Amino acid sequence: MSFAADDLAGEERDARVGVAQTRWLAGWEIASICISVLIAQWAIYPFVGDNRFLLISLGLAFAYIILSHRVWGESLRDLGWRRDNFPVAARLLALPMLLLTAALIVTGWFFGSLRAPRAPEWFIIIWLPLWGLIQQAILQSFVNRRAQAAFGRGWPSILVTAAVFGLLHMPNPWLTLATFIAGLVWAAIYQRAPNLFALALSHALMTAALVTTAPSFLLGGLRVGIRYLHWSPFWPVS
Amino acid sequence: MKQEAQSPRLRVSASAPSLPLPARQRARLTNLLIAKSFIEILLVLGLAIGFYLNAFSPYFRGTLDEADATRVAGWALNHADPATRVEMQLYLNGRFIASRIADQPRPDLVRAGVARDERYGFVFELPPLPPGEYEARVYAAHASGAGLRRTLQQIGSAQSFSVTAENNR
Repeated sequence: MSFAADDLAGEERDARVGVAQTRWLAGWEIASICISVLIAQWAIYPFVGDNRFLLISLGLAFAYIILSHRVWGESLRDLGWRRDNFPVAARLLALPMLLLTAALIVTGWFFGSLRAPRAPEWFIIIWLPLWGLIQQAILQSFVNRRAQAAFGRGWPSILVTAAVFGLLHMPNPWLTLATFIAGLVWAAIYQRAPNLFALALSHALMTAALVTTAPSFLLGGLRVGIRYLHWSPFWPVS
Repeated sequence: MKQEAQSPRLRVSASAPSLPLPARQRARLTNLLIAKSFIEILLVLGLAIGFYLNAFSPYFRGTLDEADATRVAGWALNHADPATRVEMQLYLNGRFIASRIADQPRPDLVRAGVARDERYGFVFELPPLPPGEYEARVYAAHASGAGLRRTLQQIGSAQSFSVTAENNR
């Protein structure tokens, strides 16, 4: 009996160690992807000034994310590449998007910066949703899921996900704040109804709302990283 | 194994990552993270070294031979492009004074085997300076980063000199 009890205690200890190590690994993975993006934003551009080198850093991050999903045994459905819960996710997103858009319109009216979009149609219809999908795929299916593994479901992992999203938009202060707030909403909804397509569409619509309402000096040219430091609110936005 | 959480209000399943990962998967992730970190360290190191060598070309050679109240002189050449004469800028106490092309004759360079022709010298004739202590530095001005930058690369060491009422013309 004593040997069985010892075996059981050992198994429980191993399980606790395994859980702790898994949590640490998940946190390390989040940090590692953040570092890849920060290298692209803060090191490659000032050293080289050539966007082709961004492919090295970001490509490495993408490759790691794909390998990580495989190691964790995550299916596309797990990650949110699914259609069945699109209506549910869209309904959850509707109210927050309406409120945020209303806030942006009021801000734009106050500063007199309401304007029609100037980008070509292909940019609005194709690129914005695609770029939103890429960002949400990384933010939710990787960062959010790893945050859940490290900190558990609910507000701890939602806050971590939103904080990461805001961090990667620094040092643009208003964009950091906007992405943190939006990150809270998207992370919370992803944990209730994981659907990357709905989130991508929401991302695209909110980006369009932002660039057509917020004044230029708040937007900072939507620049992040060291490029933001090269931007001046007193120069004409090019 | 996946955890399927059912929200009673929404009736939507939301799968969360399962814990713990088996030891073999944990080891594999650890190896991947370490490998990724090494690659990124090498990338940043390569970028830093490449940037430095591009901005501060190792092929510039020269010295600041003399600096006094009346003139500053020396020589400079770019071994990567010896046919092109180097643009030199003189700074006194951190302030820009003048710009010259280093194309003055210096036969001693040929005798010493430093260069194949002698026209790599520069001479700055100084304007009258107020009495005081001065530090002269000369820089080779050149483009780098495919023209994105212009670099001032110091040639030789700084030289100090004094200006008095006697030696000032």
